[in-house]
This record gives sequence, C-alpha cells and structure tokens, in this order.
Amino acid sequence: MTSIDKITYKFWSAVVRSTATNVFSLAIFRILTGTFLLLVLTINYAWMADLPLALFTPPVLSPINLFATGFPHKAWLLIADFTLLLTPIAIILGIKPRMATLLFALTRLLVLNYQYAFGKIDHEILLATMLVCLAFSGWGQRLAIWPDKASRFDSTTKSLALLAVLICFGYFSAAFEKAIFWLNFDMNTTGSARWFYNSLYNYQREPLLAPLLKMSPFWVFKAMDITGVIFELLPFAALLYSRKLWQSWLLLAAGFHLVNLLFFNINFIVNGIVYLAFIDYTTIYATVRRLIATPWFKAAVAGIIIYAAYVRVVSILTFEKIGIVFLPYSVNMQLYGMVSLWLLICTTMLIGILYSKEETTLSRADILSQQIHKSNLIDHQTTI
Amino acid sequence: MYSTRFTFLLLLCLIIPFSLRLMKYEPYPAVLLPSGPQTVKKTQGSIRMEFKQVFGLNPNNNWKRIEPKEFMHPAPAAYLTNLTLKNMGFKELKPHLFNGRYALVNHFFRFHRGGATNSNTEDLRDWLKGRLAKSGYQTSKIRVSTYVNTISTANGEITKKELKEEKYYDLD
Repeated sequence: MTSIDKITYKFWSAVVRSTATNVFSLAIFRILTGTFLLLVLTINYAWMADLPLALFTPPVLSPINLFATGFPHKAWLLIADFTLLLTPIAIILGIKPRMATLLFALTRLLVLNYQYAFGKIDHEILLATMLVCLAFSGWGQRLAIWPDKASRFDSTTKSLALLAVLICFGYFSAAFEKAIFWLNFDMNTTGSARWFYNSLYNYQREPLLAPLLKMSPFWVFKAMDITGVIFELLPFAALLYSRKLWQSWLLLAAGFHLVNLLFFNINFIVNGIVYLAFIDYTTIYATVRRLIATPWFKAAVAGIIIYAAYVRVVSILTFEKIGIVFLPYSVNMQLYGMVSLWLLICTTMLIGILYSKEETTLSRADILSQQIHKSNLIDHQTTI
Repeated sequence: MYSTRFTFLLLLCLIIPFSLRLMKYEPYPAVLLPSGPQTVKKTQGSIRMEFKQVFGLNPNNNWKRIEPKEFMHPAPAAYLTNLTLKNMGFKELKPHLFNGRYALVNHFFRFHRGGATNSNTEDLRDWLKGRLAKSGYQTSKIRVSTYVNTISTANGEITKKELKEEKYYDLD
C-alpha cells in the first residue's frame, strides 16, 4: 500500500465513520424522499414547448447544447412531467425504486437543462446527486412492494460517503470566490447587501424579514459575509472530524437556508431533503413497518397519493402552479409553508443529532445489514 | 472502500467543471452551488446598484412596470431579469470565436452568437406580444430601462433613481 493509498483509505474511512447508516434507515428515508418529491417538488415543464427558438441559449457546455435544435415538443415535455409525477409514487411505494429513482433524476436533469436555456443555471444539483448516489445504496430493498434485487454496485456506506463528499465540494465551490472578495476588513464593502437588495428591488421577492434587515446597521451585512463564507468552507472539516460535527454542520446548513428564506426569500428547499439522508431512522423502522401493514394506514396513503396525483395532473395539463400540495397557491401561504418545512427539517435534524451514537452506529449497521441478505452492503473494505 | 484511482477521477470530475466556472463557462450538470461574489460599496451612507426594469404600455398609453410573475407565468418570474440581460431575446450578431476556424467551437456557440432568422425573430415578437396582451398591455412596444438606484444604508429605502439607459423594442 503506497502512502497515497493510505491517505485515501484514511480519508474515506473518516467519511464513512461520519456518514454510515443502514438499509433499514435508508428505506424510511426513501419513503420521505418520495413524499417530498410528490408533495413539495411540484414544478412542471411542458410550458417550455411554447417558447420561441430565439430564447434557446443553453449553457455552452451542456448535453442539450451539443444535441438539441431547440425547445422540445410539448408531447416530450408532457411525458417528462408525467414521469416526474409517477416516479415519486413508485419511490414511496417501493416499486422498482432504483429504476424509479434514476429515471426521476435523469428526467429532471434533462428538463432543467432545457429550462436553463433561458440563461440561468439555478444550481439545484444536490437533489439529483443524492438520488443517483442513493439509487445504489440498497434503499429500495426494504419496505417495498416490488423491491430491488441486490446488485454488486449497491453499497450503503459508499453511496452516503460519496454524497457527503459531493455536498462538501458543492459548498466549497460556493465559498471559493466569495472568500476572495468577501473576507476582508473593509467594513464598507459587502456581498450580502448586494444579494439582499437585488432580491428586494430587482426580483421583487419581498422577504418575510426584509424590514428587519433594511433597518439593521451596515456591519450586519459584513458579519453575514464572514459567517456565510466560513460556514460554506467548513463542511469538509466537519465531515472528517466526527459524525456529530457533520450532522451539526448539516443542521447549520438547514438553518442557513431558513435564514436565506426569511431574509432574502431565496428558497433551496430541494437541498433540505438531501441533508435528511444523514439522519439515522433505524429506531423508527419497526414502528413504520408495523404501521404500513395496517389497513387504515394503507387507505390513508392511497388517499393522499390519489389526491396529490389528481392535483398534479390538473396542474400539468393547465400549467397552473400548485406549490406544496394541500396548501392553497398564494404567495404567503406557500412562503409560510416553506418556512414550516425548513423548521420541520431543522427539528428532525436536531432530534437526529441528539439521538446519534458516535461509536455504535457503524457496528449496528453492519449487524443489521448482514441480517438482510448475503451481499454485504456495508462493504467499506472492498474497492471498485 | 473507494480506491485511489476512483478518488483521483472523482477529484478531476469536480475540479474541471469548477475551473470552467471560474473561466465563465459553467458546465451543466456539475456539482456546483451558487457563488455570486460581487459586492457593493457604501459611500456617504448609501450604496448604488444597477437594476433593469421592464415596462409595457397600458391601455391609457402610459408606461407601467410589468409585474414579473404575471408576465412570465408559468415560467419562473425571476427569468424576466435574464430576459432583460439577453436583450429580450433579440440577439445581436457576434463574430465567430477563433474566426470560425473550428467547427466544434462554432457548434457550441451556434445559439449564442445571434444571427436569428426572420422566422425566429417573428416567433419571439409573437411570444412577447402574447405575454403583454395577457397582462393587459398594448402589444406594439416593450421597454427595458436600466436604473442606477441609490439606497440608503440607514433604512434600506431607495433615495434616488437615475435613468442610465432605455431600450424600446418594436413588436409590430
């Protein structure tokens, strides 16, 4: 083993120590993810078919810039919209979850590529990253109607470890340039103020707590600059240090998004579900399994899915936005809904941290995994 | 666990798109989160920022600021800003990179360098007219104004609004 191999091994071992969980926990998380995709991520894309070709300016280095000749035909976009509706249902119910997950991720990546042809990349990449990683985690092998068969590519630890590293790099990419321009002692220059006033006066987003920030002294923006950049530079250190610190950083990230929503009305709710992947849900697995076996629970789930599907089909066909299903589509209701969702995510993460056990999680994960099937999903000794 | 070779490849897959973004050619898809490092400077208790605003002619022949949500629906409202940055879709003919010597480079920039055909421009006009009509404006013209706003750092209110540039687009 060379010294580089040793460093690599130490690096990934530290990442696994902070992120490892088991397929029982991930099965619960899969249901949460599917529910989120069905009820919260309700954006449709068929409207793009009506856009003129003159507006088609995709990112130069993107797949559709290489192959496409313009916005796709409405029929293709409708197929994409229905795929983005049906695959979350398959993910919740566990109908070939791996295929459903990959299909959702790829469809969304593709339609977003077309949407970004408007001239702006919205950086919602973490959701697709999480779905592709977890499609190979074994999360579709439990609590599923038509479970996935174990594959040689499945690895709970590897998929979560990779996801964690990608999240860390994503934040590093956000912080790098800001660190150059924002981290200084010039109290008269700030980047946060630019974000805030751009959101307020250019995008007319009317953040909930905008009045508070408008009245704040200018140094508050500078403090936001510094804390924001430090927060974005920290995740690698937290990930490599310990599980508790990594989960605490994720909680901080959720809080950071909540602050962004309240002060800047910039909503990255798609990242919220990604952070929840690192919470250990094993303790509620048995309860959930008992619960989903009861007829009344099955009826309730069927009712929710049928209602959500109906609302979304109407939305796809009429181009009417719905936001979070079960909430009226008004700016304030949706905004408060998003704030509540972030609070729920923060609370879940806090409970997860409080109940997180630093030493025992890995060993418990190993034991549980071996009980499921012969192929060991917790294969941190193997290489690819 | 992951091998050294995989780790090295992963690093390349992350660093290359990141470097391309630093060179203003952000690829998609790539594991990159929003950066936005630009800053504003406070001088004498205020900051100055540039904003573009879109106006339509209402039935009384008065210019009125267009409400982005209604105008862009069902597209995201924020994309109106991108539209203004793209000259409302009316592309100007730009020269080929490297004098058009490399077919692949020309292919990559075919949608960006302008030179839209008449039918493309006509489609764009129709699309803009449809949007204006839906929002209750006249469909003959649309205006994009660039303002430099002075914002007080004491209360966050706009204290001065200077017109920097005004562009009219005839749609008929």
